[in-house]
Amino acid sequence: MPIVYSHLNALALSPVAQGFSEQELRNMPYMNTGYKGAFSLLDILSQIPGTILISHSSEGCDSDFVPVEIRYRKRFRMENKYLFSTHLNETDVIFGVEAPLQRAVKEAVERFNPQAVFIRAKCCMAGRSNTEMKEEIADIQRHYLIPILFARCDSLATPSYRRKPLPPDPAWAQVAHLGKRTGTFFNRLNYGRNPGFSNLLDQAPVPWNIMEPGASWNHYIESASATASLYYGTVEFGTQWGNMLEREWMVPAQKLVPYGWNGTRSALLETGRLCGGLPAFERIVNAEEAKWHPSLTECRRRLKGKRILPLMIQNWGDEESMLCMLRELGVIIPGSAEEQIQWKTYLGEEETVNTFYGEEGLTLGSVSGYKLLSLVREIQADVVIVMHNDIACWCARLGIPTLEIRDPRRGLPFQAYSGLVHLGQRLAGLCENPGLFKKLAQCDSFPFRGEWMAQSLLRKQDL
Amino acid sequence: MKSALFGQSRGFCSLGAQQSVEAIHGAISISYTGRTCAYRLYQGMSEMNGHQGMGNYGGSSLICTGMQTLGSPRKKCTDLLPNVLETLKKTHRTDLFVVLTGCLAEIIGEDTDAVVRHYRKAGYPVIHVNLPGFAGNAWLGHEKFMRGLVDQWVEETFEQIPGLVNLWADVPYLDPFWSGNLLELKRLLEGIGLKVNVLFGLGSSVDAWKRIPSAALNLVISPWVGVSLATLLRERFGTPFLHWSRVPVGYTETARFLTAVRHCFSIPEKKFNDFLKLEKKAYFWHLNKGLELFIRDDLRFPRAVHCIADCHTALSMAFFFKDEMGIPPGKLFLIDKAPAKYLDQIWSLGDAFEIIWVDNALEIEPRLLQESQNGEPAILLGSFWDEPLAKKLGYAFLPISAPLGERLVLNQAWCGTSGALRLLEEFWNAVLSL
Repeated sequence: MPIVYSHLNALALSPVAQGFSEQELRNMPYMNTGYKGAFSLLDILSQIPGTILISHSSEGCDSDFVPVEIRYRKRFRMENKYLFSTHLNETDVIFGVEAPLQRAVKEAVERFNPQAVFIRAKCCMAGRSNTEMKEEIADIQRHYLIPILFARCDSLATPSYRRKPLPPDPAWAQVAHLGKRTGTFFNRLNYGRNPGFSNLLDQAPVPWNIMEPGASWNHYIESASATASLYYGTVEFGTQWGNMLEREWMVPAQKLVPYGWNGTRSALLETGRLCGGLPAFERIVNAEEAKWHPSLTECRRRLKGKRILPLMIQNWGDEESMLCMLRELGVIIPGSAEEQIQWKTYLGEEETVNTFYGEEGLTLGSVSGYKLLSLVREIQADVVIVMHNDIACWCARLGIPTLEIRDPRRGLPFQAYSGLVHLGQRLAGLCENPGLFKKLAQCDSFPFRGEWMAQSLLRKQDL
Repeated sequence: MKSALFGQSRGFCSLGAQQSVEAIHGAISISYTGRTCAYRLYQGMSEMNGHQGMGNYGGSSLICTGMQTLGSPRKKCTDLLPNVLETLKKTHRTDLFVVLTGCLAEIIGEDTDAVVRHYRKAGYPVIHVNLPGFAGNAWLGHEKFMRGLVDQWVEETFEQIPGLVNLWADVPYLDPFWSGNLLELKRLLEGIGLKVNVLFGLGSSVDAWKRIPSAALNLVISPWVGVSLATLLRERFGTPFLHWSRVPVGYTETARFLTAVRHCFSIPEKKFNDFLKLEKKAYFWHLNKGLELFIRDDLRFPRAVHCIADCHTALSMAFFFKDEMGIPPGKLFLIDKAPAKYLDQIWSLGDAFEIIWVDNALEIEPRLLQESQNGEPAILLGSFWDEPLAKKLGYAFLPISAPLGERLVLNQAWCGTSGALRLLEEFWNAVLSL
């Protein structure tokens, strides 16, 4: 079925046309909003019963309390009464933001007797660097016996973490060893939003210390006593915590990638080997594969020959995991290395690429939506999967069935065999029912100039 | 002693005016802030407030220069702006750029204004509004943005358009029902023969803002938002304004409102009366369907309507339920921190009600818990935050103010006559579901 924007394709597409020089096309800025790890951290920490989270910020900075509260209510069937803010205002900015935070911590400790207090601090409001803020919180800590912790993912990370040279915060490492638990047990860290793989692990007779949203504070403070840690899902916090335990407390950490058929099988068997219960895990593998195989076969039949384009940020393995699943679903992945096509591009740092994906590709997560449109238009996939801040609605308005995976920082769903089948069913459903998207495309509502819409930033190159 | 712990973000911050820019067709906001500032506000004010969507230039595709935190300054933000402006001019179809600066630019003292002035002189359609989040809530931000736009963009014109009204009512996105309400108000005003200059939402444009001085009347429908702007417009262009301090809900209030507007124009009496007659007939025809329900004696039925919202919404609702439906008002918790100069007037409006200005939303629960001791059934109108409280008190609950949470609002309105009927449906459905 022709796509409605085909009138644009009729325009002469040239890599350097309509007044854009090559240099301009290369230097176009990333200019969209972004998710940050701080949000997933807020989501995780605010769900630890018995603790308190204080956002040291203005009221506007707390606009993300709503989605966090929604998830809290769904999980616990009650409202979160332990999520606070200091609501900094102009007076605080002028006369100092230390006192409101000190008062807030004091009141929180006295009123609620929490096991820990997490502080999410907006440095711009406080006029402080992260390091200064950390020192200020360390200063507050001196007055209390319970941990008062600066809530930042990079507080757990090594100094080389990304481009921020913030050293790991020893306070977090200490927390993991506050509690003592004897005997053999294994940490299980999963902060993704898909319980598929966790459900499988629950079937095995392994003494778990489960660390996931909603887990009690005891699970965190006992984690350094574990025999080993397994972390899966693609959420930064779980990875960082697992690595911290290994670095600071010599608890071996194993990353699992339970996405797709083979990935799930490997992850289960690896878990079995690590936890000393391989036969039990083999039984789970056999039972699950027998259960899901017919559904997978059916998905593959429905998706045969379909071209599915994933536009994913490359956070913590999201893109690789999605590519694995798509390969197992038997779809065509445009821009994959298997196609053996060379592309001339203005989207990434390289002038030519052989694949859109991975470190050698376009690093799609750092390309703004207004530029990615060119790729989407060029490829004309049957479905676009979007795990990116700002391109999903544009793909849909182009008339292309679109599956949006929200909140990149909350990890990739579709874990385990059930997740793979679920993904396949969603994609097949979109391929077979593109009505909404085709109708949307008939309403030309793009805010971009025609010249820009016709501009090619990516094209096949003759080899 | 006042609590140092606050909760339940409802008023967001002045940078929330990014959503007001989004509501003007053809205008692009350039958030000169950290990337998460812009995204969080979108999340709170649009996505988690009725799933109002990204629109054309907003939402998660909102233009943002991004700013580094204080600890790791890389480029000055004023270095980023030229590149973004040049790019947008080539790629986006737009009539106006609105540069919005937030806390960080204000704290480190960047002279964004000078950069923007330079570009405006060079022929770029660009203005700048300084909206540090610590300086106020989203209602104040909206007002400040409107004033900035008028100051920097709207020029005097000698062309007067008879019967043209500039409509200043709901705050876009912050009130999740803003677009439906504006359409309903437009319908009513056009019904009596006026032309409405649509400044936000469907049918709006940057050109409409240029037409502001051509209007015969500025119509402000709010207890305080927009009043200072209308005063400014009167000073600059001599345009009179009518300040109607609450949104008309229901036939009685709508008729009173339209009559007041009519007095500002020479609208033929017959045309006016014919329109009102039709409105009245349709309104009461539908209202009569619910009569059996309204008059029934049922232990679940509310004997008070409590409301937690901005004063624009809360007062309008309270008047409607009291005057039109005969349900006594309960406590009105007002959350929008109106500037001091408007407080007396708002107090006088609410003589019949118990008004409580709320600085910290956590203060509401103890007060309502005390109120519920009498055991009388009531309904609570509020936001997503208030639903558990209503449940705890055994009250019916109707979400009417920001943030709405996981609900979808497309063109729903609660003002005028058709909006009031819709409101009644929602109200009674909430009561009956108890």
